[in-house]
Amino acid sequence: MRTSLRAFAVTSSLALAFSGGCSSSDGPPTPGANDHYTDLPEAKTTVSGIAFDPEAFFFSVTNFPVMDPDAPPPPPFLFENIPHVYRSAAVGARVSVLHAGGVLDSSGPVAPNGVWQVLGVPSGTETMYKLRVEPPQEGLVMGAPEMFPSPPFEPVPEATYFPTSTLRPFTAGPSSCLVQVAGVVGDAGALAAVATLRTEMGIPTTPADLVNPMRTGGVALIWVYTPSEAFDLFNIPADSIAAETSAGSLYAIEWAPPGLFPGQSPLGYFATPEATSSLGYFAVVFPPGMTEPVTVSFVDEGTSPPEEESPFQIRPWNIPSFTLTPEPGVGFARLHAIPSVMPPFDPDEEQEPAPDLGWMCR
Amino acid sequence: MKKPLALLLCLSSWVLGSGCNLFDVSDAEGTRGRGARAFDPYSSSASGAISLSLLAFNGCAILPNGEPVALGDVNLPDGAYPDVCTRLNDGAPLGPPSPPFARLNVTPGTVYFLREITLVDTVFGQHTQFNDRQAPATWARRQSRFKSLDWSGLTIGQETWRDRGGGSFQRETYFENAAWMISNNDSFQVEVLDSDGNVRASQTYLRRDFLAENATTGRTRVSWTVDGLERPRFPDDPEPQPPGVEPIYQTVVKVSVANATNPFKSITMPDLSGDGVIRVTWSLMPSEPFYFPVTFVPEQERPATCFRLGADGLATDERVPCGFGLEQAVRIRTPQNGRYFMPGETVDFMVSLRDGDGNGLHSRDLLPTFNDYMNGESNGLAYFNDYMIFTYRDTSSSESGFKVVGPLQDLRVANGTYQLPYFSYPGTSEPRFFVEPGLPSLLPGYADSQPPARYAVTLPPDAKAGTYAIVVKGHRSYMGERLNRLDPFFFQVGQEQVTKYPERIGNCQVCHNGTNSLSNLHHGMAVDHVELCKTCHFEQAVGQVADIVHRIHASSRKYSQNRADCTLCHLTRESTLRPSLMSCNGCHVQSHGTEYYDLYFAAMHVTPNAYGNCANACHAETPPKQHLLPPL
Repeated sequence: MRTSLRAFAVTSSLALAFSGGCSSSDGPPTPGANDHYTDLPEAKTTVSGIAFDPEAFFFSVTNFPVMDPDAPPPPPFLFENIPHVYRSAAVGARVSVLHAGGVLDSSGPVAPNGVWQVLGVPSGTETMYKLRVEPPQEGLVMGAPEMFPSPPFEPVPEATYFPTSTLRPFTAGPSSCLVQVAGVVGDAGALAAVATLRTEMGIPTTPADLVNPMRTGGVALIWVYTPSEAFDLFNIPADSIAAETSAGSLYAIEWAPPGLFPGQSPLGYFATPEATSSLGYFAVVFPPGMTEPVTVSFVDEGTSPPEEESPFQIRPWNIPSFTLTPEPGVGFARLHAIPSVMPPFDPDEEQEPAPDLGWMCR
Repeated sequence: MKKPLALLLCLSSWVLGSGCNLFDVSDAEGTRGRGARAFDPYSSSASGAISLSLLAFNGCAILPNGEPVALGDVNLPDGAYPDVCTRLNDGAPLGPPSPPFARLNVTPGTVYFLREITLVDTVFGQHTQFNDRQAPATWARRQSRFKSLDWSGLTIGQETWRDRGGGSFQRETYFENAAWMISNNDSFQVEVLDSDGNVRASQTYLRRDFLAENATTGRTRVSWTVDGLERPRFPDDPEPQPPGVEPIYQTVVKVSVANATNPFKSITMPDLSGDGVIRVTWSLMPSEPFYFPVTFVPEQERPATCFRLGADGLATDERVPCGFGLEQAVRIRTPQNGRYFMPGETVDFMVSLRDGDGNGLHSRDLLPTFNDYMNGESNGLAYFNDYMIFTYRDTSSSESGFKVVGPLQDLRVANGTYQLPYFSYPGTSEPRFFVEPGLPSLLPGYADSQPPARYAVTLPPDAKAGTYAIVVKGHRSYMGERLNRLDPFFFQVGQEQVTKYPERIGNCQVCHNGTNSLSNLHHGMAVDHVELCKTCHFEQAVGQVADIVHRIHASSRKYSQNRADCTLCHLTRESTLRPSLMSCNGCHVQSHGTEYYDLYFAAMHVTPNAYGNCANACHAETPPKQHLLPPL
């Protein structure tokens, strides 16, 4: 029965082909007809990216076992399917989009590859947003031990993680902001290192104290990375970077294999009162109540051999200064150095259109 | 006997009664709304039959997203269908074979017709001697899955160097004219088997029933490619450049015929449930049928994964089962003055992709993720899949997105420049893809992020007045149906008065009508808008419009017109008088030999190059008499 109905449909269609194929209504659509115009709902922007512990990421990079002597180790990039991303993903955390200190919307639990997505915040180029990684009540476990068991993979030390905000705001101009990178830190890395140093300097401090608004005006962790050759997703610490802050106490963060000497954090980090870090990693601790903008400036003290040709490797790099408004708690920022050597500008060269990277919302 | 006679009489009366001039081609082909009335089989549910695409890769059936199909619970002779398949989505080189898991669903009781059958056998890294063109040909003739074909008469055909962008080139050596390639009397017998292997339905298609089998459109080819090269130093450079870099070698035999011209040859999917298989027996390989495992999913068992549309034409939250087909719509936010956009104003619009029954294929604000597409959970919506293009050698496969161009009256061919004579967003040849190529496998989270259905494009402060177009490109595969759509949606800038295309080329409908209409071919764009092609196809990396259109028709076995008669497609004399290596070589392969060899390798935007106006005295002021040009 169904077949015969279909057959009828075929026959009918054939008949209609002859009757209607030359209909005068078959003309071209009228260009310019504005029947597509309508009122649209409020424009929303999806925001998505990864949430990871940058300190655990570096720990994974430095401790990754040699599986095949002939194969290069996985690169320290925030790319898909890089083991270090899985080993440092904030699995189970939620990422909130913040505006004026309040939460606009939050993601679901962060996936094993660090991925999260917030489905809609108001679009616009005027409104500044920040992100905050909220660890779950049960805490975060780094290292993805199910995927990377020990041995041969070095377990990532346990830590208590703190809600961590991004220090660099973004605007949601386009309808999607992709690959937003949100860091989360705990008490096994730089915060522990700073607390230890401050204690040694006569200011008894715990990592929890540093994020306690009664004790400090907040901690800004800023990690300077080498110039990135693909988006801003290379995650290679920049060595020989000096920093200076316009306010607050600045500490240079260093790293050595855990357990090498007293005062190291469980992840191997330690702090110094020096201005230069061989990791390009700095912590700035603000006094309680401080809300005035603070500028942290950087100088690349590194050198490169004269024969170096890659603009990404020629030192010194330019490192833009970073201005932030202190907030209680802990915030994290990734800052990429910029090559100081650019190809000479050729006024006669016809330019290729630059790709639209607006979706990065940087 | 009485019924057919009555039908014929009835049809005659309709024809005579309609009062139309069958030879009047001045009316447009229209868009898919025309379909049902003209028995457009590509109109999905509104037509009498559903188009069926059958694809195979290295011995396994695949879905249009490239995933290999598992046999399921079907009794076939031992070895008829492999237990493991190579995944083309592994990229190059291909990974080791693994058990397939995808399912090709079809709807029992539905009338289908075979739109496309594409069979690919390919190897990577096997023929790596840069100058040995014999080895890949020998592989095709003696070792490939198509070795039993009649390969007599095989020759080395054209050898092309294609600019892949960024200074990277692909050399492709074509092998042509084997007996099976030029055969026109062969056929494909399509049989639907139940799970016990019993034939439950059958239909035979002649090869000449299909319109498209041209390599330029991604169809039949036997070729050997060397990819990732720098330009050769000189003609017949025997060394791959740059020295020391190992290029990617691919050898492929692709048999692909598409676009049935006789949709009345249909086949009704038997009323079965569970698994079955479609067996295709090519008369040129009678003892080696191709198997396409299917799962029969009754219409009433389709899950409610689509969305009912609201009065505003946008998806509501109510879920409904999906139907066949792909329709595209756009809703543009009303301009500030209510009538037209002003230069500098932002055009804010929402894309609404629907099935042929008017159900939304996605939620109001968001599209499915790339991983939804790869996992078969996108209601059939497809995104740019690099491997379907680079490994499977399709040329319009899954790349969905949009472009905004205008005003229409300024849409002229750009020759060797990114300084386009009209506004275009993006300014590149590629559109703004909903999912950008290459990024899902690179950027963390990209493949799991839902792309928006809403976009905003800001017009330049000096935008010229006229009619602009949002050109939406969509792909969908669902229940065996694989469709491409390219639709313009218009808005006004600076004035209410409508402007038109330059009308320099056209007439495609003289040949491309009915089932062969451009609406049903390749990208699926109606002939009314053929002057939009150039807005993407202005560089070789994606095919330059003059080159590919000439190339397709010059090498087509189906093109029956006088190839020297330019007046068929060129409506103005001016449009024929811009000779360049790029536009002439589509027909006249290497018309100047190696005389202007370097120009082929100059970047598109670097003058001089192959896009430049050449030999004005010879080809423009006194054009070759062999060409019939539009009058002065």
